[in-house]
Amino acid sequence: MSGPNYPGFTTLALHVAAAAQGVDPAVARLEERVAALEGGVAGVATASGQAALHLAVATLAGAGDHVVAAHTLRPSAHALLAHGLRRQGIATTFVEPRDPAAWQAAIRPETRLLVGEVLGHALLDIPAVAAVAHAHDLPLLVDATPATPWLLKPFDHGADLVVHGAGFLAGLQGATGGLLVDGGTFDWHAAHARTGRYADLCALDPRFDGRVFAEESTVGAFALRARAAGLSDFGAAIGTHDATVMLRGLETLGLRMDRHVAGARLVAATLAAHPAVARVDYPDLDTHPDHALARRLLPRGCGAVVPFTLHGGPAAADRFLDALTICGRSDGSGGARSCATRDGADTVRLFIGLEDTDDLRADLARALKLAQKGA
Amino acid sequence: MLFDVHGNTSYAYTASGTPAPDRPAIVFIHGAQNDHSVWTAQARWFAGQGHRVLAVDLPGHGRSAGPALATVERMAAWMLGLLDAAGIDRAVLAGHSMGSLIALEAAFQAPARVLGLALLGSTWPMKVSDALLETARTDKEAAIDMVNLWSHAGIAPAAPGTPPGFWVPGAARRLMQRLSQLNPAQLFHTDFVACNTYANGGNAAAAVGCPTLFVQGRRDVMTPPRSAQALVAAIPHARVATVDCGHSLMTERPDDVRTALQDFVRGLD
Repeated sequence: MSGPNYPGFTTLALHVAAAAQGVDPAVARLEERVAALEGGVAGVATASGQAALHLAVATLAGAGDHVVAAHTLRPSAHALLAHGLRRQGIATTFVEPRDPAAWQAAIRPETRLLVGEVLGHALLDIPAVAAVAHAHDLPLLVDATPATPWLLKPFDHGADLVVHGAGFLAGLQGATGGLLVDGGTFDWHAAHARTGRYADLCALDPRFDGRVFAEESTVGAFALRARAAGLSDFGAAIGTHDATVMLRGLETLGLRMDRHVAGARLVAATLAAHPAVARVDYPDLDTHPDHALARRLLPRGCGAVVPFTLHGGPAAADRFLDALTICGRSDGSGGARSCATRDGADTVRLFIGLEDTDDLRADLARALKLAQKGA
Repeated sequence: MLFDVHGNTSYAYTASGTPAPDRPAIVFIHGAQNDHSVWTAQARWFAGQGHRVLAVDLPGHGRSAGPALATVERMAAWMLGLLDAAGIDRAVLAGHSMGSLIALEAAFQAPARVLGLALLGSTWPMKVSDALLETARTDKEAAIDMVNLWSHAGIAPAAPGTPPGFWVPGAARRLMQRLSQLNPAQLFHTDFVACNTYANGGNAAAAVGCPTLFVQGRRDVMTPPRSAQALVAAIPHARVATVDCGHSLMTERPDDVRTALQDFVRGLD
């Protein structure tokens, strides 16, 4: 190889320049950008939303500790807490998210955090649940995947930690990746002084050579610890390609979310007026019990997920799903294509994509008609 | 680590490391409505190099008890009291913004105890506008957002932060909010008034005999380098290092600031 007549030049050019980047720039950029969009202090990118949730819980809780979570969490998150983490000694009590007294009653001395989902299966009254959490020196973690920071900023309403799956951020159904964001709002030092719960953040840790994360960072101790311990232990880091895909997607986040919301609003209204539909569980509708709360937390709209129940039971739901042509059949959200899936016996969850809404509504109307016909 | 200074519990971050006897102790002093954690990157590095480091929380800030002190002179006296409590005879004082005035005044009060002065984001007189003083008194949240906006070269995520994943202006904002939460008694206003009314800066600068370093942010609009010309001229032997950032130098450009301090401390031997 030719090159400047300088000893070792080729090796320098090949290897030294590349190794100068110790931290993957795309990953670090994604973490910082999502932290900024949320108004938090730091982000930790993970291999998936599920990995972000696992990292958050494992950073704060170990064997013998306890979590209180909404029973309405998405199924995989529910399973992680109910089964995966229970095997490792972390117990979870599931509660009705609408009832602050239920959250309060489930808290024990071993509880380490409260977990809810902002939207999707139920709208979480973040200020009310955060007040319960903080009264007990506990942080509130919310899964904000269905809302994205475009529709809701959980830290403004009292949440302390946020997790995201990649779908809506990337704008691709099935996009890989997740984010854990530290809001910097929870005072670990004060909570630990009163309860002794957060030694991993607030006490000297022999593993980290005398580092005390809550001393190093008054507001970002959780993020420091999650990266130094959990991300390194479990290895669920994001790849540079997936981080780049999410970064690209973020550029169109506002445009896409507004379109998802516009589509979901039309679809929800259409469904609510249809004789074959028993119930539409979209908080944007005036008739929904959480409508006032939704207006307060989500002034830009209630996201892309429209759950509804058909007259005619599971058989009607199956006929409806079989009849769809534009809507796909899966439970992935965030992409341009609308999808539908069964949720429980007779409920259908629609994930509204970015299609022409007339075409979409025509597809749904036709499927509803066929669902009724078979009855 | 906790110390008793004049009867009040006082905290200083000491990082971890084994102090070497031939390395000078370095004391890091934060600015208005801040705490020790703005210095973590530099304090950790110097501790790792065998320096004994103390990144203090001023009284009423973060983990240090007591009401916030109302004048720079009293803060400097407290600072010297902390050196006594920690058993440190002589140290390099590195101060940021209001902390730089404290370092300067401490060198005036006890010149024999100061090996070197590193003044970051400094100026004198450190005038605070009436509008900002009034906002700090009446609407802390608004004052925090104003100062935070003015203290960074850019508020948007720019280069990946340090530590990794951190959005630096966001962390600075939360820190200021936290300090108000911990000490609801007009902390920001008290600090600003102390900066605004510190009158001894001219005398103190003229009396500086120890090696001195200014570190200035090229895009600093809180203490613009231009405004510091008189102060810099008053210490003719001082060196000036310029970093491409705003007023929050230590968190905006931790490595550049550390390098400037490293060169300065190495030159003291």
